[in-house]
Amino acid sequence: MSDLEKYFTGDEEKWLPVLKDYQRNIVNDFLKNSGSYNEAAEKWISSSPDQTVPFGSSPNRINKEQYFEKFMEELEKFICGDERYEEERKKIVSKANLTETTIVSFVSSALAPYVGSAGPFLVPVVVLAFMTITKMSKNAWCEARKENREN
Amino acid sequence: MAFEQINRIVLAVGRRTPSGVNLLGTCFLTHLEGVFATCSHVTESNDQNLVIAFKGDLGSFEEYQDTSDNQVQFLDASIKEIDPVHDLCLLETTAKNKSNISTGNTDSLSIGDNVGIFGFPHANHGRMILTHQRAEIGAKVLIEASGIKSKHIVLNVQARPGQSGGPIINLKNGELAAVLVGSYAPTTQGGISLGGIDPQTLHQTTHAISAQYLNDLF
Repeated sequence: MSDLEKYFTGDEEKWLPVLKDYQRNIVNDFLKNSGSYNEAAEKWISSSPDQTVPFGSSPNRINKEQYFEKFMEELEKFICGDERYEEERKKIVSKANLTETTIVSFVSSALAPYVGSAGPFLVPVVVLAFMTITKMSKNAWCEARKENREN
Repeated sequence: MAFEQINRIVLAVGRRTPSGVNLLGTCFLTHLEGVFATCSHVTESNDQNLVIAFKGDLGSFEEYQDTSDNQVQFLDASIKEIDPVHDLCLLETTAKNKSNISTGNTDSLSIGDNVGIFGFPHANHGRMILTHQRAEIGAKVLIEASGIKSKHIVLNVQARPGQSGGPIINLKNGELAAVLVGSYAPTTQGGISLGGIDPQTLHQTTHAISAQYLNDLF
């Protein structure tokens, strides 16, 4: 994972250009009115029109609070060295010309099946989480996650 | 305005299960090859086993649809773009066709204008009957999602589960004006369900989001 560590240094806003225009516009709006990158990520996950009952017909509605926590658990496993993602980590660090866009796309796709989501839906959530990790440093973020779990 | 061939463009979204395809809502073919549009909530942001479902014989919309025919064909679909704030989503398939629907918006509609609605009402009960409704624009409203306000129209018609993702056609110019997302319901905790029906949704205040936000996803 040490090869990926260098990407979690410097200005955390370097992750924003990964987003497509429509995603970036929404994320920027969220960030204007959010206290943290996590809060903005939760808004993306839980967003649905007010005062409207959706007329899709799936019987399984997502519990969006649990969904965000599940995402964070899986991201922690990927970033902090859990063996579940060992193969994916090897694959990503072996890629030539690794860019922020490639990392976000790869991580979103890797986490999607475990979170029960599509990779494109997770892209802004991964970007916002990476902004937090870059702001804190990878090691500090992993330590903070570990402490939260133990408390 | 005639819609004999609309059944080639407006199809159902479903999910493959061991017991068959569960219908989730409505989608429609866009001007991009093999790309369909629907509501993000129809997919639940998850494209595992997601399919575009259709009846094998795509004749004319004017023909009688057999309600006892439960056989469907399907194409695997994956999420290409998804915007949960505006509740819109593009689905990618290997289909080689595209539609000639041009994407407009709700700005050009006036209160009292008529629109055409297409979708699969009662898909939650497994009914897959493409249905046309004609409705008046009752109001133009801004609806908030996660603090962001978006342009919607109120349609003076009762809609039912399965119609989400259905195209709303401006009958003046044939453009896609909006996408049906659901119906008004007061923001209250709790509620009841009678035979799987939420009584709070039994009214003629249907919400549709302006198609202008779909343009951002193309």
